[in-house]
This record gives sequence, C-alpha cells and structure tokens, in this order.
Amino acid sequence: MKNSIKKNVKNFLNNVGFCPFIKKFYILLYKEQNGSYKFNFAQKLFISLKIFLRSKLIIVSNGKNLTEKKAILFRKSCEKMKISILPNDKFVYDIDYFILPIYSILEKEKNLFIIGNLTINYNKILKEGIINIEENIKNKINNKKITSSQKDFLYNLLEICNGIKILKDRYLKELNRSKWRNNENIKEIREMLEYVPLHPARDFKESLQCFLFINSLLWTNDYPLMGLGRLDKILYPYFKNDLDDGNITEKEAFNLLKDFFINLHKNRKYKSNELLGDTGQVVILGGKNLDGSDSSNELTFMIIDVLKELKIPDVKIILRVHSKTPNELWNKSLECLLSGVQYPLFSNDEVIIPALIEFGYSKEDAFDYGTSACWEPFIPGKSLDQNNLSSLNLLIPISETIKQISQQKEIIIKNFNDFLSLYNKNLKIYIENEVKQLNKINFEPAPLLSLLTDDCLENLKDISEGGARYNNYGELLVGVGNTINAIFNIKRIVFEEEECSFSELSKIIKNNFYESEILLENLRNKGLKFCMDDEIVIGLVNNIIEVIFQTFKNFRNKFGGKFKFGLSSPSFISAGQDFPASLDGRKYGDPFGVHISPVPFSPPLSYTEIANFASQINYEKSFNGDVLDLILERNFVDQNKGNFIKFLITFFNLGGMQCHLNILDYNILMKAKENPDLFPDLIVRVWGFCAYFKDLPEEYQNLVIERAKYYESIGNQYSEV
Amino acid sequence: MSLLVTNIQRSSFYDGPGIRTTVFLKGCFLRCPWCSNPESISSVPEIYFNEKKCLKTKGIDCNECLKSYQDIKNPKEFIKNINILTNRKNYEEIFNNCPTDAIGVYGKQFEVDELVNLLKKDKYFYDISGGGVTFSGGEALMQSKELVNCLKELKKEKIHICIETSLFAPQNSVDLVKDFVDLFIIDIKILDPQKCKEYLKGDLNIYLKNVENLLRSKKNCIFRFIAVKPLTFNESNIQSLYDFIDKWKIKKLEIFSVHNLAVDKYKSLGKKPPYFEKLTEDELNLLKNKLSPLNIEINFLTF
Repeated sequence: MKNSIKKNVKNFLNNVGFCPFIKKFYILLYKEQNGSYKFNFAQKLFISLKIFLRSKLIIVSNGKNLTEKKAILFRKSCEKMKISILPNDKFVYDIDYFILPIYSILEKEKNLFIIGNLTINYNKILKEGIINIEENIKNKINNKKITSSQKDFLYNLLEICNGIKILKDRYLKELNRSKWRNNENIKEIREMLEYVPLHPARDFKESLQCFLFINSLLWTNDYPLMGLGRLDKILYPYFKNDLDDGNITEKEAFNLLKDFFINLHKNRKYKSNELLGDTGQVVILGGKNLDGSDSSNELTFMIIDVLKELKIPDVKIILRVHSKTPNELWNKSLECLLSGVQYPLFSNDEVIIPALIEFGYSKEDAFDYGTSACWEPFIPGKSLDQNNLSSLNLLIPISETIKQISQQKEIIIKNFNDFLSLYNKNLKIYIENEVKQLNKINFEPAPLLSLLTDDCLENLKDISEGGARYNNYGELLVGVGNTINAIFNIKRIVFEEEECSFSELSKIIKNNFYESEILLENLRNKGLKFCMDDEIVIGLVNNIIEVIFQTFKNFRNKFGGKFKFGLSSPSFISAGQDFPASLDGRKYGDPFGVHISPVPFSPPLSYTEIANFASQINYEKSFNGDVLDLILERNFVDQNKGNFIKFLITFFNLGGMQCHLNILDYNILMKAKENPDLFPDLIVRVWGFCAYFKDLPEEYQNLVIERAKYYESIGNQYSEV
Repeated sequence: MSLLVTNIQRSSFYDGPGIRTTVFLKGCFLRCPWCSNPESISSVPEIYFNEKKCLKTKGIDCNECLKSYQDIKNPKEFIKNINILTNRKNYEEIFNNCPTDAIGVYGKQFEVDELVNLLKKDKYFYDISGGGVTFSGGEALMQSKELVNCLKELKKEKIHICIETSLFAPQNSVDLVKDFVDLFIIDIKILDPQKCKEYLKGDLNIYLKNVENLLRSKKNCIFRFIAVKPLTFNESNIQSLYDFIDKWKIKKLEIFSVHNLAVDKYKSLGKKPPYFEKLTEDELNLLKNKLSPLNIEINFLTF
C-alpha cells in the first residue's frame, strides 16, 4: 500500500516535470553542506529555504524529446541566468548554479548518465566563433539528404547558438546601462563582447574572455568536471601576436592571466564534484610535437608563474614531459611544486602517445592529448570518452576464489599456479559482468557539449549518441597493491610454508583478524610486496594486466568504442569502506593502497626501488591513468633539487608513465589536523585534484597523514637498519 | 669471497654526488664514543632486539622467536646469548619467524655477485644524476680484500665509486682499493695524537700517512669534519683543523653535526646510547667564520 502511494507520487512528479527539479535540488543541498550529510533537519530546512530564495525556476513545456528540451532549457537559462558587472572586473564570468529546471521526462529517461569529465574544443570557438559554426549548421540543414531526426539535432544546435547570442546581448545591454559604463574596464569588456564569442578572437585578452564565456556555460548547465585543455598551445598565437605587435606587455599579460585564473578558481564549492576541490579544472602544459620537438613556450612558463604566485589548489597543472623537455621547464616545475601547490603532475609523452596510437587514436590526435579530470589521457574537444566510468576492485575476484576453494566446489587446487589460474578465471568473469553493466548505461542528451565537441556536427548526432570522434569507455583499477600483496601472501602461507589452509584463511578474514594478530603482522611485513623491483612482483602485475587487457579486448561498447583501463582509481577510500579484510593485512573498512605506491603498512621501500618497479609496468595495455604517487619532505626536495629532477627524468626515461608528488611534512600535517586555523592554505593532492587540507573529510586527512608517515621512513637518509 | 653488510640504502642523496646506493660494511677500527652506526662497529654478526616493534610489548602473546629455544624465556635474552650465532647454523631462519622483524641479526654475508646485482639495479639513476655506489660503515676499508673484487665488478659496469672512510686503516688496505675508487670522503675527527688514542682508540699517524698517500697520488678527496661537542668541537681541535686544511690546500669541506638518532640502535644491541648535544646554528656559523680565511667551500650535512 505504502509503496503504491510512493509510486503514484513519483509518477505524478515525473509527469509534471519535477524529477529534474528534485535532482538538481538535492545536488545543491549537498553542495551547500560542503559535501557532507552531517547537518540536522532544521539546518537542512534552513539551507533549503536559502536555495529556494536564490533559485530561478525554468519551465520547459514544449520540446518533442529530451534533446530538444535540453536545448530549450539552455536557451532559457541564457535568458534568465544571473549576470553581474563590477567596475574592477577585467572579464565577465558568471555562473548561475541556482537554476531549477522543470520539464517532464519519460520513464526510460530517468536514470541517464550525465556526460562530464571531459574537455571541449575551446580552440575551435576561439578560431571560428559561434557565427561561423552556426553558418555551417544552417548549410547542413539545407541539405536535402538528411533525415528528420538529423534535422532535429541541427535545430537543437541552432537553439544553443541562439542562447549564446541572447546571453551576449544581455551582457551588452547590462554593460550599456551599467553605472560604470564609462569605466575603462567596462568599456573594454563591451568591446570584447561585441566580438567574442560570436566572432573569432582577435587578441590575447579576447581569447581569455571567449574562453571564460564558453566555460561558464558548461557550469551553469551542470556539466561536472570540466577540463581546460592545452592552454599554452591554444592561447599562444594570441599571446605571441600581441607581444610582437606591442599591443601588450609581459606584465599586462601576466596580470590578465592572473585574473583569468582567479575567475576560474571562484565558487569552488559549486564546481566541486565529490570532494571540495574536485572540479576537474586541469590545465595541460608542454608536450611533444609531431616532429619530436618540444611545444613549450613563454606562455607555459608564465602560466606556471602565475599559478605559483596565486598559490591556489584549483586550477592545477599537468605537465606533459618527454625526452626533449627543456631543463628550465623542469626547474620551473620543481619551483612550483616547492611553493606548496602540489602540482604539476608529470605525464610522459614517450609512453602515452605510442599507447594511444596503438589503442586506435589517430597519430595527430594522440600527439594532442590532454587528460580527463584526474590524469586519464583524453583527446580534448574530440571525445565522449568517459574515462572514469567505474572502478574495478581486484580484491573481489580474490574473495570469490577463496570462497570457491574453501567451499570445495569440486575445485582441486594442488599448487600456486592452480590458484592463480582460478583467480584469473574469476577476474575475467568479474570484468565480463562489469562490461555488461557498462553497456546498460545511457547518456543524457547534451546539445551544448555536442556543439563544442568535434565530429558531432559532421556525424549529425548528439554526443550522447556517439556523435563525437572517440567514444571509448575507461575503467580504473582499485586495490591493485593490496591484491598483489594478498596473492604473494597466499603463495607463501598456503603453498610454501603450509601454515594455513584456505578455509582457515577464509575464517580469519571473516573475523577481521580477531585473535590472529601474529598472522596479521606476518602478512603485512613479510614476503614480496607491491612496488618492489623484483622480477616476480613485476611479472605478477603485468600478468594481471594481460588478463584484464585480453578480456576487455573482446568487447565493444554500444558506440563501437573500446574499453581501456588504468591503475589509478580515486575510490581508494570509498571502495574500501564496506569491504571485508584482505590477505595483504588490510582490516575491514580500511582504505586500499593509493595509485602506484606501496601499501602504507608494508615495509618501507626506497624511491629508486619504487620508481624502478613503476617503470616496468606494461603501460601500453593499461594506459588509462597510471600515477606513481610519492610523498616527499619539503627540506629533502629543497636540498636536492638537481638530483631530484634527475630522479624524475630517470624514471620517465626508464618508461614510467605519470608521477604526482606531494611535498609534505608529516609533522606539519599532524599540527594542521589539530589546529586547522593555523594552516589555512596548506594544500594536499588527493587524487587528480589538489585541495586545502582543512577542507578534506577526516578519513582523507588521516590517510594523507598515514602515508606521509610511511614516506617519512623512506625519505629518511639515516639508515635505521 | 663475501662481504659482511649491515645495510644497503638505495636512493641516498647525501653520501657523495648524485643519486647513490650506500653499502654499510660491518666492522670498524675505531671506537668513537658518538658513533651513529653502532651496529657496524663489531666485525661479526650480532643479534638485535627492538623492543618497540615486539608484539609482546603491545600485549600480544607472540612467542614465535622462542619456539626453537626452550631455554630462553624472554626475547631480550637473545642479545646476550651471542653463542646462538656460532652454535646454530640455521639462526637466520629462526629469526625470520619474528612477524615484525623486532628480532634479527645485524650483519649479512653478501657474495660479490649478489651484491653487484643489487647495486646495478639503480644504474640508470646513477648515470643520469652523476651518482654511483658509496661504501660506508663501520670502516669500509676493514674488508678491503673482499671489497676490491666488488669494486672491480662495479668498474666493469662503469659505476662511480665512493668510499666514506675514517682512513684509520693499514696502508696496504688503502692501496688495494684506491685505484678503483673515484672519490674518497674522509672523516676529520680528533687531530691530537694522544686524545685520538684516548677517545677513539686510533693511531693518528696511520691516518695522516694515509691522507698524505691519497693526496700525493692525486686522488679525488672530500673531507668531512665530524663536529661533536666537546670532543672535536673545541678550540685546539678547530685550530688543528685549520692547520690541516691549510697544509693540504683542501678546497671543499663538509661539516657533519653529530645527531642522536641512533638511540634505538644502541638499545637494540643492549647498549646504553651516548648523548651528545647537537651543535647550534650559531656554533656552526662560528666554525664557518673561523675557517673563512682559508677560502674553502663549506657544506653542512644535517639529518
């Protein structure tokens, strides 16, 4: 009875179009609480009221399908979104997070996956302007050969262009009647908006304004984790021309960039996805050109300097490095790291570009790679590629294998190899099931993203239907280190030392090592461990990669795209929360190992050992984000700058793929946890993003502290034996 | 041919140029009271027990180490029972039972091949950073005869070799290895013959002859002054240091201020840890000022 009432209420809400409204409302409620649900009912009510007061309702009553409704919603939000003009602004950059949409959706449209975690083609807008793209769309509509649904798609894109024009006009109107209309800044903004984003940008400042204009639309329309792309490449022509022509001085350019980044950094709360700071605003710098030369330029250095000076955690830099990365750029990057912003993250073109080409990306596109919100290689402006669709927990098939053996389902395990084969078999089944789940995903139509992503227009298809040039799915592995350690423990304890049987181990895990502390310590401290540069360890890692690769190879997603995977997942805490104890010595609910780094309770390994290990992983088959994750003491890096850069260069020369560093001191973290107010701008890197330490939930703070302590023992240059 | 090693530390950034691996060899001629590697003094393997790591300390009834020793009731007693090492051949295996490595043996025999293979693992890091392998101790030159084979193998691999030494070693053991060594890092401790004998149990003449020998044969040397209050950091010794630098026209000096990090190591050997007050920044600067007329490059090593 109760259920049927619930169902009826749901149906009613759907039919009158409250479903998207409620969804958006919940998202706002979550963000207003800074990502935590700890607030009580009265507080929630108060926040809800505040949201209502700030919000604008937008009702979309027409539209024959969801795509059209989304396009109309876009146009209407351009008509209604809040815009502001202040005399000191050098740019306009307004994002209205408080638009509550009301439109009806069908039952099958209810659980659609919102496309995000990508970078659009900023370059195209800067170069062509909306008008030219619109012209192109109109030409296509006049083509008699296209079907009516294709025509609908094109009309939706026109609606998006209309929205952009409307917003631009609104700005001009506001600027004209602003009381500061004679202010120099305001005049300049008006001049710029007369031109961009409708027409190609003419100078550096316009290129920045155009970029911000388009970027703001993405956030207002609720697309999460929006990357910024290769800024030093996209903006360079405008920057260079202005400097050469004497239109701008270096100092002016520096200040414009500063303003640009301050704008992007604002409203972290609303831009953040899961945790505060997790916005996906990644800037890609540097990189290898098709002819092998280095693409970095004066703007690369200037952007690093600006961000270093601002000392803000969001926007963050990924620096593409290769054999010809100039020394000055390495030095500049280390300076930036030492400033405490915990970026750049380094990404090795020599490994990634060949892997991308091998996977099926065109050579030209592979050389132009950027990343998704964390670090997963992504072709900006040309891809739907959802690189973090879900995480594969490699410990799940271990649990399954132990269960099968201890329940004796006619399985005969005589030796370790039998065990490993059974694990591989279960791993394969696990992945196959995951693929089935992934292929059930349907994406929400996104006409705005379709306008801004290559080949949607040529293919006459929305990005949600596979209109983009690349439509692959990416998976991330979690618990890799724990799994490797567990397998070696099983080999040692069950097969070599014959100390325990599988059914005994199964019980011990179930009891969360209760009264098995001696075994627990043994499992943690003894034997081969993940990140040792031992042939056997590397062999096992690459063997598992091979099994996963071969399994995925047999599948295609519904767009014909392929599956890819990498070894660095952000779910190291969340996936562990309800997961039973594991045979690496991890207890119930504890976090998994983080990315490519030793599991924190295993014995300390040296930096070179870890780097040697990480450089031998088969990245060609597992390139969807593979980050060597190190924590180093500030003094240590500061005293050894030269050697430290050489350390990184060697790692990449040897075949390492990516590396991110936290320059952190355990003692400072401990103090910051106790007295957050004393360290308001202490920044730590969590996964693909950096955040203020004080903003992190406690479990994340604790993990960073635990890892910093582990790494302190590695960095210690005094041998404790 | 094997070497007795207490520890191999990869990714060393302070034991010579570049990124290095440091091999700590066991056994020393001297008995410096401030020694920060007490596990490397004796030239035979020693049992250690680190109470902090022992599960018993945490209230867990672990008796893994006592299983094969019915006559021993408490793991602490192992430290005094040095005979275990000589009487039982499989002692290592027995200590391996300790789940936390709270109990074990300082000193492991490494065959040259085994050691060289391990040292080769970081070859690329050495090459790109201008680093290599450093032998330290204890006194690396105490095992010169065995060491020289290892050095020959490393030279075949074109690996830069550095030796950290007190130079209180017979001249022939210096001569044996010196052609294979790219850099000597030489300690300067007490430069007064009598006090040297009294506190360090070393013959200063041997040291001075070795210094002369290395410098005359144009070997690449860095000198490292071990600053300890009051044993080496006193007016007369600093004057001797000044004269020493002046005499040999030394261009580069490292100053190592003794630390008290070795407390746990002393305890693990059942020895009382010595305490030496760390030099203050002011004192270090004072030393620097006193040496400034010599026009030398000074680096401070701090841990």
